[in-house]
Amino acid sequence: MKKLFWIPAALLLLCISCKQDVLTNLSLREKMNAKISELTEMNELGTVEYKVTKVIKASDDAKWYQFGDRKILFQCTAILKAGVDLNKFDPSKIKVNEEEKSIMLTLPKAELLSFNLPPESAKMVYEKVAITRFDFSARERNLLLQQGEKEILDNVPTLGILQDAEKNAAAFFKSLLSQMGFESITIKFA
Amino acid sequence: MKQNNIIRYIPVLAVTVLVLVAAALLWLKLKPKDEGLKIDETANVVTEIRKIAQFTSACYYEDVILKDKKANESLGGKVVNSFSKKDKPILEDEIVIVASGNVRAGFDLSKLSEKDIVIRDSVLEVTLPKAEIFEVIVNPSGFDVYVEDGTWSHEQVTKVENKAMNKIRKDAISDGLLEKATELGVTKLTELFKTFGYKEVVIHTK
Repeated sequence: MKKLFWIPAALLLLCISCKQDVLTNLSLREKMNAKISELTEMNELGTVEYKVTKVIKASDDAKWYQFGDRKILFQCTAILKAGVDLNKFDPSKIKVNEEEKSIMLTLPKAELLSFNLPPESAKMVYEKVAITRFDFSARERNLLLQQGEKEILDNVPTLGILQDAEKNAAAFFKSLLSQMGFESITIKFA
Repeated sequence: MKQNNIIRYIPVLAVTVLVLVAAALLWLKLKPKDEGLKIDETANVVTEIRKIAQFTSACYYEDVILKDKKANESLGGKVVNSFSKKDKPILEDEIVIVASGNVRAGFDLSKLSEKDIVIRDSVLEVTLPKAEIFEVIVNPSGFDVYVEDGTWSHEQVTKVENKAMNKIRKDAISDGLLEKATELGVTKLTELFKTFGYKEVVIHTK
């Protein structure tokens, strides 16, 4: 009796798993062969780099239908670069006086140019999962790191990186323009 | 006689299946919607500040799909498929990750020294350092775990993600990112320096 029940069930499960595997692999193979890439031009001057560390922690407490909690803790370091996007630079705003060797440059306001949270800099330092619960999946861990990424990005205006980027951009252009022979250099941001 | 025994069990089986289906439906109805995991609020600590002068002139974007397999650890990874001649485990865990990343390249202008800038009459001559890759960026928001069968530790996933980053970097170089960064950088900097009042700007690269 037991055999009669288990044989068709096992066959059904085998069919389902085989079908899924074939379908998944086919579409994946197609996707893996097709290279999706693009090369674009940029015109940015990064003037400051910040390293920001953050502890990302989450507690998944048991709901009424669950037993036991799950806790996880990451320590991550993100690299943020800020500077000026020279695509927004308006050459008509430059005032040059060749006789007096003076120049007035109006640069665009500093902005965050890149945010980099490499996988190896996101270290999982603690994980506790009750025996009655499933481990954190790779998808869940990545979703938590995504929230951490968003929190750092949301805090960019309070970090002071944009002010430093403008200060450094002004210093860079002053040094460059003095090497180019200008004696009076004024840098503005607008 | 045997057939009679089987027929006798059919109602029991039918009732069991019905009870299971009803329980599953009830569970789905009563189970609260999963709002997903939320992280606790923590501080962002600036640990290092560095002055840079990186002129980015080209960026390469790519989506890569990486697949990895390993022996299922719940069976110790030692159960070998006896039907196959290969020493292949019978149960395998699989992970497929889609990574969207970018590679930024250009000139590190902090490497410019006084001798790299020469002015003759109203001709500006600048010698730039070699174009270089500044960074390969694939953030957590750029990773998508598409398929996840079995248990994958954070370290194991990080290895796959690093493979994806290396592939993006390699593809960027083979697709001519550095050559493009040099070409575009020279054009853009020539335009910029001309706005400073020089009649002619000549840019060389090392």
